[in-house]
Amino acid sequence: MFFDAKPVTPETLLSEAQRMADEKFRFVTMSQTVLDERTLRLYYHFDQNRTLSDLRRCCSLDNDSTNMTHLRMDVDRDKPIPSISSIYFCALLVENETQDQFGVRFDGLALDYQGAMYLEGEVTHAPYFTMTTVKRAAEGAKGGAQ
Amino acid sequence: MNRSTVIPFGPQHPVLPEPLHIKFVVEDETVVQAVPQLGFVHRGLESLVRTKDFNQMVFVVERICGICSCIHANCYCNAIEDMLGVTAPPRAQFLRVIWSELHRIHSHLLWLGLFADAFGFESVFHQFWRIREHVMDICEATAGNRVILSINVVGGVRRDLNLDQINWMLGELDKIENGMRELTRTMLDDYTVQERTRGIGVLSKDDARLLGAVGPTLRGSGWECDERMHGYAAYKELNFVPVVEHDGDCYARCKVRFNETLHAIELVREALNRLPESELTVKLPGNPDGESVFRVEQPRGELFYYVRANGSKMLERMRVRTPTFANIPPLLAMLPGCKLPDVPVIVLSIDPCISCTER
Repeated sequence: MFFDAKPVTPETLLSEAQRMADEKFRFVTMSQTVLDERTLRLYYHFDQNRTLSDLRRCCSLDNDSTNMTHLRMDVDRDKPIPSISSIYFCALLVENETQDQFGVRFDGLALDYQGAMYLEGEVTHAPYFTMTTVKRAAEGAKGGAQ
Repeated sequence: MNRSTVIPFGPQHPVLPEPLHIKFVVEDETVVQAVPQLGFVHRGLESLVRTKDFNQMVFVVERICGICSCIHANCYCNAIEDMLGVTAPPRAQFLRVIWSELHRIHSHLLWLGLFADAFGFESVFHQFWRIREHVMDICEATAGNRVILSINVVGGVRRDLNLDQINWMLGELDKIENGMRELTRTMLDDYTVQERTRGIGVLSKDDARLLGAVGPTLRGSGWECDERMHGYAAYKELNFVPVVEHDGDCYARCKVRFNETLHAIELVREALNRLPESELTVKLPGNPDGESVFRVEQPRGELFYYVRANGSKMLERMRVRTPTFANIPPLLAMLPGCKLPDVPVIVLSIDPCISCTER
């Protein structure tokens, strides 16, 4: 099972995020998943802020995901990603966390920890991208690298 | 001309049960800027999906945070069940609500005690924690543990309640409710409590949404937003109504939590009285494949799980967004302009859980 997400690119991300802000969506968070050694997939999750009476009137109560809207963007790990923290200030923590864990870089962060929000300054490898690369190389070599 | 001074708050501080570090830029006694520093208890638990299978991960997610362990597991199990296309049996859905709400009650009681302690009301701290022991007793008697209950499994729950336990629990809930009602005037109507909390750390309604606040922090600013409204587990069968306050200050957030505790008692009572007969688990059709997101309401607010699987026993990715992580940007907006002695009260008013935040 997969959920529906609207595809965006680094060029269209900010305009889409601005549209969500204009329509009073609440930014929930961002999820990241590694697709291959160079590509990271980012999901931006937004909530529609429906009230209890809205939900009872117009929506099914059986499926939580119907009350969320998602944007999907695939990015190259070496190219800068536009930060949406100028539109949604609350995105700055999750964007900094992504910088720490996946080694990507966000442009225009409202508060930039430079990849040291969780990690010590001397750590140079992004733990999540490195682990993925090692694991996949190991699978190709029948576990030789493990 | 005022001279700026930087004052470190935490990671070890008498009001903080967990290590959070905030650098305050102050002019005289007034805070002008706050910059958080995280990472003191970061454990990288999300990456354990690569070494534990999706059933074992239930025990890992319970250990992200002790105080709402049951709700973490509930959210994770629902996300995996969504991917597998299965639904837990009705009795399991009700039992999940019962144990989740018990966790909410004891979390809020713990917070109410700590909050009272933050502004020096130590006797109320003792009273709330005395009441909380009844909930801990219920957890121990029904699940075998006081804090980490381990009752959720993918596809249902592993423990049931018998009639004797239900009757005993109803009696204990009466004691908890009576204790809470005795403390209502002391906590909510007392002059000194109101002096320390009213008009302090105000978060406007618009800021609360724009800054991504969740849980009592969001509802204390006037938003009717609670994941239980979406009806996951058995909430769609119960008379759930979100508790909302409009002032957006520390007092409003305290009142939301106080009234939510009473409402949670009602929900547990209702669920116990309407517990349906059914199996406790369903058979799983295989390994999960695909992607799923799920949200539930923790005591501190909205908890979000994203999981991605490829048909093997190991998940490819699990991402957890915990409520305190979402409530830090609003906290940074509440602090500038406040006086230094109000800082502990404002920081505690979001009920920070750093184990959750850093995972």
